[in-house]
Amino acid sequence: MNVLVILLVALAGSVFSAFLTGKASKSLAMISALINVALAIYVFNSLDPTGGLQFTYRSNWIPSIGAFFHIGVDGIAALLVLMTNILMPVVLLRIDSKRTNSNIFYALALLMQAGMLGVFMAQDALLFYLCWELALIPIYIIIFLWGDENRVKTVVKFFIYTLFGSVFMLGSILYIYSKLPSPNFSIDSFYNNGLSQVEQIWVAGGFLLAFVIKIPLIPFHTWQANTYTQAPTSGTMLLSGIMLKMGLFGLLKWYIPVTPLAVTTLNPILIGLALAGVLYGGVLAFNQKNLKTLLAYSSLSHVGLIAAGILVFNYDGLSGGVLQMFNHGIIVVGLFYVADLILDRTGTSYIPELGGIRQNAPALAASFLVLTLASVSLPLTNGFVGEFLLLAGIYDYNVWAAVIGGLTIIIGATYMLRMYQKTMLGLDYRFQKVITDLNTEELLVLGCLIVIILFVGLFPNYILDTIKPSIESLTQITQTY
Amino acid sequence: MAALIILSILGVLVLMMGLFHVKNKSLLVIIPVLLGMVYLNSNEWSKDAIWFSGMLKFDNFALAFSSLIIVVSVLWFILCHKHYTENFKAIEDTYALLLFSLVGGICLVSYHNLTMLFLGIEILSIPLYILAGSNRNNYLSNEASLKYFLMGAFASAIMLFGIAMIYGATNSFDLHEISLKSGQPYFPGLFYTGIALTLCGFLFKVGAAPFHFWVPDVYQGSPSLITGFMATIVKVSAFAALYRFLNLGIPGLDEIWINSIAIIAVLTLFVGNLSAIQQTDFKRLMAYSGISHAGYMLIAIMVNGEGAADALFFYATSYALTSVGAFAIFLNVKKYTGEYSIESLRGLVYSAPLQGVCLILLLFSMAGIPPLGGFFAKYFVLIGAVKSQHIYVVVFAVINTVIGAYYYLRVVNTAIASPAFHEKKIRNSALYEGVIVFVTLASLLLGILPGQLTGILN
Repeated sequence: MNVLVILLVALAGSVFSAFLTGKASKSLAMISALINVALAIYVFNSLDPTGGLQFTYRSNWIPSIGAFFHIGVDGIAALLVLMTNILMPVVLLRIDSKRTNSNIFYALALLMQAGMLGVFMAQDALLFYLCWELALIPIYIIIFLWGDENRVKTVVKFFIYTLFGSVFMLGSILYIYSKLPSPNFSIDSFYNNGLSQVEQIWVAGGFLLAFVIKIPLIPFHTWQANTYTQAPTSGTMLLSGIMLKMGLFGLLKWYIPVTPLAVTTLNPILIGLALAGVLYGGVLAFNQKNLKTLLAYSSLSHVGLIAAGILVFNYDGLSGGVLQMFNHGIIVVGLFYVADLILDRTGTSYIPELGGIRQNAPALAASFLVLTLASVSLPLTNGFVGEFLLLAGIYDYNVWAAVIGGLTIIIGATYMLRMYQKTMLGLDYRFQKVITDLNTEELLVLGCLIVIILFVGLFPNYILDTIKPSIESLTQITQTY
Repeated sequence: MAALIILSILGVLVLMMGLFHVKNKSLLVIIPVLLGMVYLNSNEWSKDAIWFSGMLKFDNFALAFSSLIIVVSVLWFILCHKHYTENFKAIEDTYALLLFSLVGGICLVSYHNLTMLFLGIEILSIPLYILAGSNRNNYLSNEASLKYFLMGAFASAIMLFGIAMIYGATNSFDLHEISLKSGQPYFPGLFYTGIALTLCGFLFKVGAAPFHFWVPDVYQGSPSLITGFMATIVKVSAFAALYRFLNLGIPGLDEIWINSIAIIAVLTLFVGNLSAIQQTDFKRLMAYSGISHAGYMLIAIMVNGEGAADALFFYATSYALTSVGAFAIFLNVKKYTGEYSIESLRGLVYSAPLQGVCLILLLFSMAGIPPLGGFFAKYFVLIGAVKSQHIYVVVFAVINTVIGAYYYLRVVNTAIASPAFHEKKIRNSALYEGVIVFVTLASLLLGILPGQLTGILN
């Protein structure tokens, strides 16, 4: 077995669900997504942590320029593949099969999954870039076709912004490629590119532009909140749950190891930006009236901390960062899932119009509470383990940075709990109709997410042990310089 | 080589067929013959045949490019057929003119002597001066024809002047002889002025800034099929000719030429892309987008080293195929809506799902977004520029990719927006849609397996 199977299942699901309609299309898309969940769990479980790259597939692609179709996973990539595949069924379930052209929606979502999986698996720079861009087109069309009223301007801005970043990454890839003694795109040659420090700083600039726009770090975040708010919720889940992990993954897999000489110069600036984002996102989230926008800014804040943890590049920071990438995916998708349920039931996601949902929908309120608490890193939830490691890593780097980073937990707790209070507690005098509680499907989805949250919170070593050797080999790459 | 003679005879033959009013049959003759030419070309591969005492040289470069323009013109003939048989009584004259123009194109991609270059340009252009005005009752078409003719004649004259100067400085029209003397020409001043004037003629033909002003008006005014023919065949063969001139005539390009081509390329990119943003007319948009593509191809020409021919061929192939597809879809929509605006494409994915999806893919390919052919086309051009240390050119080109994506995206937005501009279904014959699907699949294939088309010219 190799990971090509996972890619092909997603692609096949995408193609076939495009040709079916309505319910049939949904079932097929779900089947493909569930097969992929099983495959990803199998891959993650049977992965030999110390075995380096596994489940590889390699074939000639463009021999004349030395590009190979080379994919495989190590511990980190396997975790992200697992996260992507676990989240896909949740995303697909929130697409209404009665919507016009819903089959196209399923097809595009699965195509995007293939692109994102490709990013995590690629061992060849050109393939990496290709998958990076492949993930962009489907989400563009998804938001354009199914987004809210003001989507057009927002989505064009999003597309141009991210494209602007990624073409500079292409420039950097081309530059490294042209400087290699034997021109090829394999990641190992990119790791040993032999560029001078000045060259590495410029090359790193190109890579970083792509990554920080995707993550996003301030001041490159201006596309984010609008896009998250205007996108259909499934699109928001794809963007916040999975797509921004592409940027974080890029930082730890392509930026730092490829340009280690640039790191000492650039990282302090980047860590500063990331921590500024932690505060900025938190403060802005405090005053948001729209549930989705609030979650978008909270995501900006949490992701800033993950980015900072990755950029300090010590063992704690990295393992916390990788673990928290997984956790953040699960939590944020859960939160957007609940936000969409609320929107469905009440017709609004405007917080002042909400309240008292708990009275008629206790199960909904209870699951929302667990997700909220995980988001504010309460012990026993997965968020706690991740953020604790992140802060420990940042503390090793600089105490004051850790202090600022730690604020995220305090600010986060304030706005998240306030948001919970305003939406769920109180009286439900505002609504004309009775809010129904979770149905079986929703209960199942939220139940699974909560089980994952608690499981990782209680047994973080299940994940940490698997990713440990991959992270150690990453830290070794930079120590040799 | 055989292609050139057989095509000339075929042109005359088709003209005669017009006497017998067999308008539906002529295509049955033209297309098999054209495809046969491609086969003959493949037989001559790597033979480097020289013809007419060094006038033409059918090396692999010439064979590849002539096959490309023949294949593209086959696609045009299929599209033309549907359109012309519905609207005109006599079409043989049009077909014959297109064939003659194609003959000129083949001369241009295979010349080895500057007289042949000039003849090729004239054979290519004169039929098109006529065809641009073939919509006789339309003022715009007349304007286009006159403008194209006056400007084209002017440019040809300048180029001829340049060729004469090169002859004066090197005592030869032959590219090989010129290349031998290009290091120490008898009269350097004359030689360099000659090259500059010849380049001006070329830049006019390919529509590079600042010689691009005729392009939008001529594209807009000419009948759409002829516009498409100009945008593909003329541009591709002119670029091949320019590459030949620089690569065979003055190899080891001086720094000054490289720099001037680099400046013109960047200027062309910005002029084309920035002007395209504001366009509302589809044909004018394609004109400006064509100008920007000319900028990328000029970068390939500027590199002029190892892999440059491949990069140019890949770009030309990808560009020609996507343009054929986009024009074909637009023509079909225009037949239903009678509009020339981009707005008339609104909701195409609903009124014609197949063509709508193809249009989106083609536009993404033009914008250079992977995994489509246009991405690798730009990629091969840029990698050449990086290897030859033209980092600034690459940075400008990369910025232009983003600007380009913006206006292509506007067309994509229009095509997927609802409600549809034309609410009833938009259809066409299976053959017509077959061409559209063919070019779309081809550009998808170029994007997934670009390796099949690279490295063949080295």
